[in-house]
Amino acid sequence: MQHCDPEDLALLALGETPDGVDAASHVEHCELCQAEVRELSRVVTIGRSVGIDDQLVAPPASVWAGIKAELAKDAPEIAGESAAAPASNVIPMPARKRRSWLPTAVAAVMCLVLGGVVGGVIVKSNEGGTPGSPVIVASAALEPVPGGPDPQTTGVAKLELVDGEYVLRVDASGLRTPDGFYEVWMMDPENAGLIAVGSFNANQASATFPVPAGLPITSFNSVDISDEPFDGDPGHSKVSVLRGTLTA
Amino acid sequence: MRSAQPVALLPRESCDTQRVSEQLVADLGRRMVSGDESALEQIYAQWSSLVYTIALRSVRNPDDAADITQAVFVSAWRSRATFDPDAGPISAWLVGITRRRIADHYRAPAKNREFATDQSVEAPTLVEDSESVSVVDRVVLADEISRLGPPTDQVIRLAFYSDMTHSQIAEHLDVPLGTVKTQIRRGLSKMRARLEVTDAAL
Repeated sequence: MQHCDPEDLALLALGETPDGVDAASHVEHCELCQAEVRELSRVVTIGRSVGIDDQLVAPPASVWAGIKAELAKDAPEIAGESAAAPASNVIPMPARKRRSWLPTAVAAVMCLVLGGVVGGVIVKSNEGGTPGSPVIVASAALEPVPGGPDPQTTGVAKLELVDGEYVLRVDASGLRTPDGFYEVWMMDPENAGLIAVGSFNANQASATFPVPAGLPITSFNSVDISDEPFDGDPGHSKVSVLRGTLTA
Repeated sequence: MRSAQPVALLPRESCDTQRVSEQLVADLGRRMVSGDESALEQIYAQWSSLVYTIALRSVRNPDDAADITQAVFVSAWRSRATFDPDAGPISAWLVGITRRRIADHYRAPAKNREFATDQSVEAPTLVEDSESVSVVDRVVLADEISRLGPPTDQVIRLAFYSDMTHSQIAEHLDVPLGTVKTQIRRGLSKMRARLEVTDAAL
């Protein structure tokens, strides 16, 4: 027996009638497909019941400060444990800093290398760390996009964590004067997702951009700088200048 | 926020990004278990809104919700050795801790006793109050929808909250019908998986 196309089952769960006329009648007689529709319908029911009240709200900044203060009391124990059994991919913190709740960047050895996009992996420990200084979570070497308008320039993008929030730092000096203006994007290569995080001036060597809270940074791991004309179109011009993939 | 989907612009990678991102999240868990403090800060950046919103919708008081959120992450750090990456993702583990801290909150003051059923007093891991369970499901799904990322989140929102059919959505977004169907299927599947792991961590 030919089961329904999974995409048609999803439409049935939404209460739609798929184009394939046979889908609905097949489901009537097929327990397997029925069960699938039932499970997806539960998702739809809960999803449609999500009210404005359920939209995510960030906690006040005092909460993270409270957590740090609370855990600072445990600091000697924490230091003991991390010194005793550091994971192979963890850079132990310098002794002088163990007592404070100072985040330290970590060299995660995971390889996130995708296709020929990545130039290299840079991970730095936060050696000069002071309270409130950023932790570099991931970084990307920005390389000229083949066939792009500026084949000579390179740059670096870093995903930093500052007081519990992500910011994207872009360093790219030597960009030529753009035809329009430079726009910085975070992309999800798998799903063709694209978010503009801000514009970048050619004469500034470095700029930081807040990353929208809740953005799935593990999928939006590609950084792209495009040359955008002043045409009022908020979409990507498809003229990419630099690009790289963030790796931990 | 601006977003668009210039599909042609993006190279289709052969590497499985989904698997890679799961690995990154699993790595966060391992780093936390090994005592890496920076992992907790990253975990907080990723999931504090989820925890806070569940608490806020359950106790309906911002100060109490902030206290619960703080307690959840302090508990998470102190009991990090109990986190088993193979048993489920960090988000589900955090939601489990959140339910317990909410139950603690209801048990603590006598005036709120009526919220705590006998069952939850004996087994604080199982909050049987059906309303609080559905609050968790709703907030978890709101979180998952926001994590779907464009364009899937947009398609799912239109499918859920507008009266549009999938063909009207395709027309509205000016994308092929097949793309909309694929995004709907993908979104619903991811949301189902998220509910499953969250329920499993009860």
